[in-house]
Amino acid sequence: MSEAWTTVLARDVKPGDRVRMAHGSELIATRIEPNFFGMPMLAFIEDTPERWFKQPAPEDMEVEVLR
Amino acid sequence: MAIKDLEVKANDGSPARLSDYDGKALLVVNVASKCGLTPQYAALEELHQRFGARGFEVLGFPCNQFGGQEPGSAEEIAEFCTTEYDVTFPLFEKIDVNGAQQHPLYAELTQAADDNGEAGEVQWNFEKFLVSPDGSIVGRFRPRLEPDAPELVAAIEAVLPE
Repeated sequence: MSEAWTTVLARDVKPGDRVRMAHGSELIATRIEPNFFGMPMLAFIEDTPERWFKQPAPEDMEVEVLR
Repeated sequence: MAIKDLEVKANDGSPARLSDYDGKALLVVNVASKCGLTPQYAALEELHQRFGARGFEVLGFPCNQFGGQEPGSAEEIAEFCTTEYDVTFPLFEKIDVNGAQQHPLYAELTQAADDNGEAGEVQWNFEKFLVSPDGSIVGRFRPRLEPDAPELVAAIEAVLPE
């Protein structure tokens, strides 16, 4: 079975998902921070030996994930 | 290691040391050109102008770890800051402030707690660390606090050497 990108709401992203944002940037969500800046937003954090990168998203925004 | 013993690189890639600012109070800020908080550059420059003669420096460290909002080259960053915000305070080479490739400066800075007692990772662009003239980290201010906020200005004034 081949892997395929699927569209989910940001609130349904799980740690370990590869996430692709609408503007095209990708990251592995190794951690998910709730209430980013005290707003109804999440922040996906890729924290790997190769890269640390943080990308916030509204909880109800559609993103693509690869699981 | 003391903060001011750490090596950094100027935005042209030349080596520098924070000891170049010995005896001064420092506000160390991770900056980005394409962030909703980027207009804070204006108030940072105002602080630099207001307190510079009394032994104060703002030091800007570009970082692309937050939303990829600092994608440009050193030259592009410097040009943006100069043309858009008339920035005259020093800018340094782009660095990582969090994670496995974290710059040693931020390994030290992020041990400091904010007013809520929270230390650890930098939250976002434009987090501010106040370093006293003796090199102690005396304040940590989160990104959404404006540089001209009364509590930040008061903290700076409290550590000015002159």
